[in-house]
Amino acid sequence: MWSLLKKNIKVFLRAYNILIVTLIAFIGFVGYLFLEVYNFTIHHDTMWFLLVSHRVSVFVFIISIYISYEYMIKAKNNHLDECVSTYSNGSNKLYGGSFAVLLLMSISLFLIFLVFNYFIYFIGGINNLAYAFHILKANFINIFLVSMLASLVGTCIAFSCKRFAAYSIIALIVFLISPISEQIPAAIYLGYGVDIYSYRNFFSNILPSNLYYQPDFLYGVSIEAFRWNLVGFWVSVSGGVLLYRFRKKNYQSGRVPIVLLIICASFNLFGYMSGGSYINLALSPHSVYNHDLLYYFNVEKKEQVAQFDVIGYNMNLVINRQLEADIEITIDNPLYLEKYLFTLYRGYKVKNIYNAEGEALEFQRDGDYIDIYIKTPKAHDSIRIIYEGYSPMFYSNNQGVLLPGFFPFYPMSGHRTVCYTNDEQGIYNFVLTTDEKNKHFEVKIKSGLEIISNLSTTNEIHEGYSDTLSLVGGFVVKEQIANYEVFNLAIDDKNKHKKENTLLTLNDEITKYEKMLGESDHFDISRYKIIQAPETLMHRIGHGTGRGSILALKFSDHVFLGLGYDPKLIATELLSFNIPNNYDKYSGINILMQYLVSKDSFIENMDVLQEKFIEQIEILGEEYVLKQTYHFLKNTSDTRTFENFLAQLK
Amino acid sequence: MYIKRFLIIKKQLYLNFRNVKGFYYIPLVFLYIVLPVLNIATIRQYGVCENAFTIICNDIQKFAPIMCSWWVIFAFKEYIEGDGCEVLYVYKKSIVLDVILIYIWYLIHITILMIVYSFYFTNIWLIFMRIAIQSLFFASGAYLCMFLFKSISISFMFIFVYEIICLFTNFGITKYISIFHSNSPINIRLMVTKNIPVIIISLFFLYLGNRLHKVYLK
Amino acid sequence: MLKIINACKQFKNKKALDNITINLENGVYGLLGPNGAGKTTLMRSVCGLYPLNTGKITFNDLDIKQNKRLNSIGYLPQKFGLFNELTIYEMMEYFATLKHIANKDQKNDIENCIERVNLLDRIHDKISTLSGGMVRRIGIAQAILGNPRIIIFDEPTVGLDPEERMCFKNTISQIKEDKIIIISTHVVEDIEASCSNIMIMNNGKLIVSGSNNYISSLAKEKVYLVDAENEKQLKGDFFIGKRTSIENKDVIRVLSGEKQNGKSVKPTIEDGYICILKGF
Repeated sequence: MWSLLKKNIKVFLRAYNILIVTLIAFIGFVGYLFLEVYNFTIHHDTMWFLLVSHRVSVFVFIISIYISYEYMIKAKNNHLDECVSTYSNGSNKLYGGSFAVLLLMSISLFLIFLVFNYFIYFIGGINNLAYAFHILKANFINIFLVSMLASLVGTCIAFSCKRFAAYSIIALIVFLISPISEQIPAAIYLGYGVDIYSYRNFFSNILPSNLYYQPDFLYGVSIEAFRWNLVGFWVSVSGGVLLYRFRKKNYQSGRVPIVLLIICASFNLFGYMSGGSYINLALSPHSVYNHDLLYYFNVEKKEQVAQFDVIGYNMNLVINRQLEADIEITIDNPLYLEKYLFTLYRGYKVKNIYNAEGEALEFQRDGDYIDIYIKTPKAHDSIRIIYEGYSPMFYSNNQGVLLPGFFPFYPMSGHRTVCYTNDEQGIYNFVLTTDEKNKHFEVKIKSGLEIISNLSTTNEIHEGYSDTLSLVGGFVVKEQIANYEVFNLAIDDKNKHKKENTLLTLNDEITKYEKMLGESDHFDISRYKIIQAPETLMHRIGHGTGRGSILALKFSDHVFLGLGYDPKLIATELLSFNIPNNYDKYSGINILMQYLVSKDSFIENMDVLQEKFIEQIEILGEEYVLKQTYHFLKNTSDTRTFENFLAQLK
Repeated sequence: MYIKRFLIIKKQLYLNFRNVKGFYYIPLVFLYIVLPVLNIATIRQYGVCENAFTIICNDIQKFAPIMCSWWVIFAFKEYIEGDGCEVLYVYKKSIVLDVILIYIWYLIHITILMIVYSFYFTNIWLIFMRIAIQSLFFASGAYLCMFLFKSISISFMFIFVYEIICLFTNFGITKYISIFHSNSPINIRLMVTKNIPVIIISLFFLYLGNRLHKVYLK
Repeated sequence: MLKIINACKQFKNKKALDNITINLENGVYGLLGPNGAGKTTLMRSVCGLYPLNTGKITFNDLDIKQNKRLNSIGYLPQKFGLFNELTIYEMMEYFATLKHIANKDQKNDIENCIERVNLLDRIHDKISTLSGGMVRRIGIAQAILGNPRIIIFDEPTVGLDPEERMCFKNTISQIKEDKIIIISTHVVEDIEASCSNIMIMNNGKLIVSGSNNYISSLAKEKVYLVDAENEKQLKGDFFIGKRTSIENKDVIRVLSGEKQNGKSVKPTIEDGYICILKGF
């Protein structure tokens, strides 16, 4: 075997036009990686390096498919097939040996990328075994499997098609897979309302996505299960075609591998079609940005406080490709209501609802809202809801879990606005507060990841009292930073020192602002579980809010913080949670917080309202105006606009 | 004499394209079906406005120039990969005029498209000039690649890789090698600064391709 | 007249043409030589495909490189299989335009050439539907298309059945007037039937050239029929040609510079060729 491989390597090295292209490609890839190593010395972001190193996977595919086609066509056109086919396993050895060289090329590429990424991993000082394994998997699927698949496809085309057809098919595949065709589904969808994304994705999902966006340090790069299924499908199909082409017609044994490959292809196809949760940052209507944007701008939101109380949740969750939930809700129903109103994000499809006696209950689903009809109303009741699904924004799969407490990934009582939109102001934002009373949670989670919640964990059961439940899983570790216990994003190495600085000064900043605003209820951060907010929470869950990022989320027992950012910004955002949710007063909240953070930059570019605010400060004094504004914003019975408030302030 | 020569080359090209069969129509499918469908979708989304015009210009830039190389490569495939292709080099020492004629034929199709667009947009003739020059670059580049690599598929590969690097990546090198325009406003000065070197490079590619053609068999 | 003057062509470490000088008048020339002798290199150099390192090739005192009358040369390479998607007529039309044949003459010329190779009934069939031998015949047809002054055939009869080989020989004899035809082949019968002159090459050199009779005569009194049982008694350097049976007796045809114990027979062109190569 080894001598066969050596001979075939010799043949490859003597095919000069192929060898030169291969060498140019390898030099190009290595040169690009060295350039990114240099860039790493500036940005110090290990995951960013992994992401940018895989931007060339499209070129890996293109070059592999062309080289494999040219090389195998040469092997085919040598006309050796006719004479070696008389030897035992002659054809297999002839073409298998040639293909082994292409496999070696794929392995070489894989090793090069792996070495560079591990080099960065070690000099970045990450020290996280899960991430080291993530690097291996990412390189395996994005470099090795991509190259090997391209070689298989090129080989198939070489043996199955005549020249013109072969070139056209290769050109078509490259067109479908590469960014050249990326705009077409977007244009068709936006222009004609026809969604052809899934057809293109059937090819383009072979390559990694989201390579030009800031990575989510909790999630990592795209290596979801469906991508493995898709690559597995195409590898099985190509392998099957090749085996069929080279089968010996009189031998039954040739059929077995073909049948196995057909089964493998079917299994993988089914897996791919099952889909699941993943981060999609493209222009697709199903993307993180558009899926909810397009929906919430056009749908009527409901607000109705529940007239029953939820006492507790008993949850059995399975997080695999998506979230599967079996939740028992204990309810206090003093009014003997015949209908319970809940809010559950529309991406979670309800399968069944049962009462305490195990009888199926009728329910009505309208977007995010569920109305459950009770057969026999009781004062103390429990219902069981079984559902599954996912959200494009708040992911839940084998790679990462981000289910923050404000997001109705479990049924929350009443009808509530999940996402606030304002056409005139151009605001689109998930509602970040819960207005919930404390209740009991008992949560069992089955997942390949270690899941962190805001509750205490004993024997893998999360239990406790809280206003809401937040679940986080992925590259998160418990660490001591500046005497605080923090659930830290392990890969966010570039901000290590900044995180410490943030936590050291945060309390002081909060105290300072509380004094300025006359807030008597002191927020002591040490009493809260601190979870570092990932990219999705900070920069993707809203736009047009007037704020650059969402750096803090506050619940009754835990907070998400944008560690590493300016502690003044975080402090003001935490304080803004003291102000009841009222989008009519949004401009006032923004103005107050911007002023607190930096007076100088506030004064630089002022709009009319800001000018009025400064005017009042100059007339009435800063301390007075700040306290009065804060009081106005907190006062739910004061329904004046901020403009009117400023005008009437004396 | 020139007319006679033109007619001879025209007939040769006609037969070359007949040899390509249905694959000849692929650039026309892109020009007359894919591009208009995309552009109409853009107009439906934005209306006839500056925004739409910019997007349409980008779409045309993405698909139109690269398709010129398709005809060049496929028409002269026999010169590279045909069995006994050396006989063609005995009878025909240069195909550079054929390449230019293919380019002109392609330009005629682009012109038809631009005439239709001119009913909706005013600055379309500057775009036409830009696309014409980019198409010349791709045609001459394809011609050079074919005789440099002596392979059709590797020539295709280089052209695809070039387009992806220039249009879809943020590599630092793209600002030096890209012939494409970003969303910058269209004006004569920019056209001249950027496109005159592209014309010169394209002519150089034609010259180099011709030289390589002559010494094809070394 | 085609003049090859001191032609040298070097490829890396191998001298493919080593100072070849010859003048060719109108006629049919066979080009013989072992594999790697330089026959294809010589033919390609005459066609203008290979530039010579030194020396020159002229036709009617005009350098072949500057000869813009491309229809002066017809060439059939060793492998021929172009334009599979065109019909025979269309492919011939393509070559007709390459050879600058006037439009009004094209149809007649094409049909004449196709008729000569016995493919007129399939003139509108696609090349891809033809057998290997038929494609070869098309190659012959395109080489003779346009009545070129120089025609070069490289292994023209490969894949042709005996009837078609006869047809090829007839075609050559019909068109050979006012032409220089060079045929490179390993089939000696083709040379005997078609050629009036033979050139023998070895290691890039032109060893000998002359008429068929002259080549045969180089093996005069060097060819013997020896009993097979006396094979071990053969003396000196010898070459065993055919093994046959005459009147139920096994005999071997031996070529040798030394006198052997056997009956001397009349030499053939093949014998002359072998004697030259072996140096008998």
